[in-house]
Amino acid sequence: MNKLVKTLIFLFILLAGTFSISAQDAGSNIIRGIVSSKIDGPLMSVHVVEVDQNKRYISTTVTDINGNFALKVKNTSNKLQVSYVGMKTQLLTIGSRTYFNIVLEDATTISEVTVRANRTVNTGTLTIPERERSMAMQTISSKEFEGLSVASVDDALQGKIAGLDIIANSGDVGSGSSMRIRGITSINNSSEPLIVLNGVIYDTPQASTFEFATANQEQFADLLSINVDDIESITVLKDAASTAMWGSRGANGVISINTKKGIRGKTRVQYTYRYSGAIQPQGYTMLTGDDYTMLMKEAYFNPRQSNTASNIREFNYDPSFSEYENYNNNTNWVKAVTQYGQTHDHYVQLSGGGEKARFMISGGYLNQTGSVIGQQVERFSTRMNLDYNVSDRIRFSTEFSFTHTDNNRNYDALLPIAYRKMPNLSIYAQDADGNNTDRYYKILTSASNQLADQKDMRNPVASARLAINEYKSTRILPTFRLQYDLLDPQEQMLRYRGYVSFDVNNGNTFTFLPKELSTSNWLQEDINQSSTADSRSLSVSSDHNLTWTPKFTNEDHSLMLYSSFQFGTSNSRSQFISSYGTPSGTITGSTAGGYIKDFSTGPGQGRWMAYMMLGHYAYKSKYIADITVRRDGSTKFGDNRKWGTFPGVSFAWNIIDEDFMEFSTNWLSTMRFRPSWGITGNPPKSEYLFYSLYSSFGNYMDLPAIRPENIQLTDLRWEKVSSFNYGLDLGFFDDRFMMDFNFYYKRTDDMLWGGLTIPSSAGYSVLNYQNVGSMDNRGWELNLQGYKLIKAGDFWMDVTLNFSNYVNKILDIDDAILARYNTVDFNIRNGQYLTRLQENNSYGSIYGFRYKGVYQYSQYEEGRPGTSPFARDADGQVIRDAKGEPVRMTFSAGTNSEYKFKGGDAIYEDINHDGNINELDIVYLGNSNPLMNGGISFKFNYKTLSVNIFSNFRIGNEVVNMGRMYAENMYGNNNQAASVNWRWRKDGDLTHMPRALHQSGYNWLGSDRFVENASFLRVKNIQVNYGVPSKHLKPMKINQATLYLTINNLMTFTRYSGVDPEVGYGTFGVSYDGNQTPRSKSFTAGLSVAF
Amino acid sequence: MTTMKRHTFKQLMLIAGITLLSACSDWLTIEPEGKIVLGDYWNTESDVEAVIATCYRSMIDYEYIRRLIIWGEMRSDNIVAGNGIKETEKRILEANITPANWYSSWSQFYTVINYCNAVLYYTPKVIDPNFTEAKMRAKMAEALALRALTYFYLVRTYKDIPLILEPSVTDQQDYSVPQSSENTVLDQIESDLLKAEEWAMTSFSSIAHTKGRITKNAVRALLADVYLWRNKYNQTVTYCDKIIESPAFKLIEADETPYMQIFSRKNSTESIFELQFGESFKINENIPDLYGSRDEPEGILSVPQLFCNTNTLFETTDVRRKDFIRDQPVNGLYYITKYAIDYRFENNTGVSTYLYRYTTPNWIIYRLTDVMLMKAEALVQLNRSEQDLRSALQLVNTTYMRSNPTLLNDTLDFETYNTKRAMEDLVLAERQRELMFEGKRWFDLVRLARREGNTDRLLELVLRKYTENQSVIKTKLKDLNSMYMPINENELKANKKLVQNPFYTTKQYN
Repeated sequence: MNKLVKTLIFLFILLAGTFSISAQDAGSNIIRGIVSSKIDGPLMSVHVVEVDQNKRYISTTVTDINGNFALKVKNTSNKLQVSYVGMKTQLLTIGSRTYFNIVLEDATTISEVTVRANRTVNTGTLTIPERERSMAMQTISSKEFEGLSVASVDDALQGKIAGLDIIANSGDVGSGSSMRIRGITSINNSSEPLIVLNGVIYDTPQASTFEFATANQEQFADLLSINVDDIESITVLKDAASTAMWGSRGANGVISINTKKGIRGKTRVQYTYRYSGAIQPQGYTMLTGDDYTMLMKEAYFNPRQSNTASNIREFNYDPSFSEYENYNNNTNWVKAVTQYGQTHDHYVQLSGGGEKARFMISGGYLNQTGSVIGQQVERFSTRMNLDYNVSDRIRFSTEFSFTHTDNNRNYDALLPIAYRKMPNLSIYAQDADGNNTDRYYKILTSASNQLADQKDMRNPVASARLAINEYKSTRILPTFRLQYDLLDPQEQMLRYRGYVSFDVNNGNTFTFLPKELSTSNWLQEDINQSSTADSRSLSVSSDHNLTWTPKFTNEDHSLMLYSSFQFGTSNSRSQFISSYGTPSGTITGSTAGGYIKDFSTGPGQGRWMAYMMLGHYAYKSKYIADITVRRDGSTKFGDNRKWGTFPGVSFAWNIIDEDFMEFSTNWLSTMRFRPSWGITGNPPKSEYLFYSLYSSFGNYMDLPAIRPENIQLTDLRWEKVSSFNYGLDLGFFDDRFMMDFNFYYKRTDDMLWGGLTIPSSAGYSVLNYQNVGSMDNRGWELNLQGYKLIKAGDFWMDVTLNFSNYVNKILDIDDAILARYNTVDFNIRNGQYLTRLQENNSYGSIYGFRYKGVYQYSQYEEGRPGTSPFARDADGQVIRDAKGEPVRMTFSAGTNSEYKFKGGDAIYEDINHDGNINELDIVYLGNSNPLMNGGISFKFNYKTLSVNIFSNFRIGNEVVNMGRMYAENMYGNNNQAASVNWRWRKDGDLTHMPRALHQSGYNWLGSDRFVENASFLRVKNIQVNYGVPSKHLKPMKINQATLYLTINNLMTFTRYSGVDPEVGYGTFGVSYDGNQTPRSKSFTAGLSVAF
Repeated sequence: MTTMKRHTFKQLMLIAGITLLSACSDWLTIEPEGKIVLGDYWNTESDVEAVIATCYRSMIDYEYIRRLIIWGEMRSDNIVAGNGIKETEKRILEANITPANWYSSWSQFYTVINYCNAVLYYTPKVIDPNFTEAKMRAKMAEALALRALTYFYLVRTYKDIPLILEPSVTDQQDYSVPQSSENTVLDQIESDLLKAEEWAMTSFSSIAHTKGRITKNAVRALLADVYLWRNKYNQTVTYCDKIIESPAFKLIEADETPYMQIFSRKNSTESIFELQFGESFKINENIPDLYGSRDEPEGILSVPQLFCNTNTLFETTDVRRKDFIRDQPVNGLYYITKYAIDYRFENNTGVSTYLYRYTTPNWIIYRLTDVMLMKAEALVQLNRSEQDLRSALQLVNTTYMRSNPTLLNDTLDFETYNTKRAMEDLVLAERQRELMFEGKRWFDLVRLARREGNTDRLLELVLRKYTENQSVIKTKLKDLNSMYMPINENELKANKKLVQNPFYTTKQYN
């Protein structure tokens, strides 16, 4: 570790030490006494403490069984504090008294108290009254997701926050999700929000040069390592004024998570168990083996009109073929790889504490099997939060969390294979009589050459059972905090707070591909291939801040000032080794012999530091102003660009407090206008970019080689996002009905672009990063909440609604990028859509042909109804050539790919009526940006029974259904959807499904046939919660018991034909639905008991 | 709180503050572990040596060697499709190359050029007392020659190419470099090589280094090749002679198992410059992949039947016919054995057994017979007197007779080849026989077409291997520009200053 951290820790300890030294001795006396209560008589175990004027404990004792105590007092001018759980604490002057007869009063027997609570909100630095909030942020408390079957934070947040868009990467167990707060501020740099856990940045440092080799590895959700049960609240910071305090990291918004703390009082034990069951929803119905072989024979025959072309022995059902039994089946691969997935989730939490210390300890164990076979996640997590009050003014706290995750993943993405694998193939090798053996079947190398692609596709069942792809991670996060009030907080608050936080993260990925699965016997590297990737990282971060709340004699003014110094460092190291040809399939280690295929290591190191000043001023709690300035430094930039300044200003005006609003006091309870402005940043992911680096490059003979490995980025800067936010908060009828509306405008400058292609004549083909342009995002969010909207006796109903939308626009962008992505000559290929990146346009637009069905006939016949592939002019008249022959419709006439359309081919609208389908017939087909998205939640309560229905929706976005495209193109050997049974087969067939053409024709050009509206309304969960009334529990010594049942993803209303309309954004904002694992349907039953 | 305490606190904060601030800029500067930043590099002779090693190392890269074979052989009459050929490769065989074809990418070649440029730019700036002027020049000669060699491959493959002589270091440089004309590039190659010839080492301390690195003779062989390409036949002869007359090289005689000496054992007495491969540092993956291996003798590339079971090219007596190509077909395919086998063993009934190699082969850039036949070609073109043709025949005879040891010495008789055209054909055929699969044939053919100003004779030879679609290919290859590869579409997108070879911009090849 570096010197500075050591120094600071030392200072920290030193600082703490000085307080204890200052205790002074001023003679001692022994005092005695008895403690009792009016009702219970003498009390045992009562804390009797000598405290000084700072309420620091000097000496302490407890009463015995008879309520007696004796205490050696250091200083008689100190006071005696007597406290007991459930009783009012007494503070007595010692003076010359030596015997005390103390009678404690029950804490609950307070005669009359008026409690005036102000709802407060923690901005991450200051705790201010909710009504003085000037920034755009939204908090949800753990109450809102209690009892839901949510594995991680992102799941819990989904659809709950206006302006936060979460798309699960896939329904695979343990796969992450991508989150976008208020759209995308960067095209080719990270757009993920910053996660802050208890005020400490929570992210996984990545080694700069390292990439795990396994390609199909889903990005594992970091958030999975936070147990949802431990969470107290989640705050989402949206505008730049609120995120400016995170400076260079805040551009994508911030999700701030706070965990539960111990609650003073008797130790409370809570146990929760949840059981979930999940199934895969129905995807496309695929062809049976019999239908498939029939299709394949047609597909091979059609383009060449030759029986030899379609004579493939695997499709012939010829019993004399040696592998006949393995190719005559009707296998439902999808069914074979799906199952009923189960989750067991146990959670125990202990919390409690007294005057001096409070604690919260929890442990959780989650075991989840996926709805696709061969997936299993196990997670063990524990968390400990301890607070210790040294005195009224000094408090130590520590948080410690440990998470171990063991994720057994599929080696291959099984569902996509299951949808493509030829269904006449058997899962298990079959003997001559057609009986399954215990061996998985793989297509032999000697199989027909035409089946090459099927050969490469591994048997998905065998892959799930035999191949290994596991990811294990262990993460330990200890945090130590100190809080010290430099002045008496009763007078004015000057508070020092500091923490040192460590983040130890170890990850290990291990894969093994046994030779039983390798589809080729010649590619040796396939045989018993094994790889191990290890990464470990240690991050240390520390923050030291002062909060000052001066007392003004004029109480109309209130001011809070805050300043902070923070720094952090991270070190990571990773290793990757892969080998093949290990001696047997049971010895799977990468170092167990065999040939080393690849070996690499990647160290990573980074540091940052920041200074921050922040002020909150309120006049009569009516006019409020907040100012933040943060100065950030990072090792990611060169000397000239190391530091960046990130300001934020926000105002709030409680209009409701104005005199002229008096007329509305009966019904309007809140009316506040909040304008704000700020600048935040976004750094590139990698370190060392501004250096020209020389690194080792193997050998040439016995000569060690060293090469320059990159182009130095001399002027790399932060990506800067400046944003305006205008917010309006309204509350009606004592805030029973609340509304907040935000309009925002964000501008990204110096937009970072990762991996910019440059002419390879430079000797390199990419620039790692470049600042390339600017982009605009504007949008709005509306949040509506109705508490007890309907109320009748013991019944009431809450409603929460949120809506949001944004539009983005590229303002200007480097010409090189435009040139790279907007080709002048679009190369029209099957399955490709034209997308464009244009200045002053939003991206995500889809361009393609218009699909008009299928040509019914091959030849033109005068007067016959029905379509045939002949060109027509704008009036619908057939175009004739010089000889009077009708002109046949052609694809890309005059080019290499010229093709004459025939009966059964797809009809594309000939926009310019020239008889030639080419790029001039491409039109705008839609946009992937939604018009609106949001969530609706209804909560019905009757006594202790509550029913919560939560739905989320998205409207108006177009998705390219690649899944369906590949399931209906009849172009390769992949299995197809059952819908292709409606294909055109002979002249005169009237259908929308073109004919089968193996590797030829243009039946699946990018057209509106596969562009679909993916608007949906999903009933995401229905939760029934029943709290067992306490009168039934008392006899069993149980404080609280709750039963609940949740049904997740019950139904989705959509016209989208794919498996799941919730599709993530692809390159340049166009959503491509690649038929990933759809979200499973599940239910959860749970029980929570507290003692 | 007392004033005293407040004062102490202020002081403490001040001290802490100052300590932190002054430490900041240092603290925020870290250099990567295990890597060296440019500012700390280029200080010693060994720094230079290590980057020169990188130049060689990146030439034995898979993509580089792959292209030497694909560019130099695929379109010639030597090659037909073998087993497991990929779509992109098939397209090249079918003379249907588009700018999307991966083999039109030149990036690995410019990577090598960039490393050479770095050596040439920084080496003169190295201040090291042990690094004498002579040593420095020797190092620069290596970089000059490797850069020239790489540019020579590019200019023969693409014709007009960007000529870049400065290393790429920062993002402030303009990387959109337009193409230079073929002649500008060739002039640069020539002048670099002349300098390199003067500066280069004559030999290194070990045979592997002498054969595996640039020496004076390697530069001369390359110069001869460049002059031949530019039709500067006098200079070709001069430089060929410098090598042929050098005592450093000796032709391996017929009874000394030439195949084994040259291809299995590596670094033969006949070798001038060959890229070194070794199990300990780099395997030559392209040979097993393209030509075949012990596990899979059928490679991606194969040989047209007419060179194997007819006397179109090889006489029955020619050992090269059996050494380079497996004499018995498997599933109708003749396997390439050159480089792939260790040696061939023939029993007394004339049946050959092929023993595939266990070790990885080198890749020969220039060897003695290549230079001899270059000289022969130049002599034929000079044709100053009958003597030139006679000398050419003698050179051909040297290699020919070595491979036909059972024939009489006067099998190739001058009376049969006494015209320029006949001798030209003979030299071309002998170059094909001798250097088959060594990445030379296509360039020999293009050189012929350039000389002729049309592709007629090239077509005549190339069309022999096609059994179908002959007319389509004939039409396509009519254009001299079709001899060159298209510039890859990604390069055109990234660099707007590049101009595509006109042959590929016609609508037909979009």
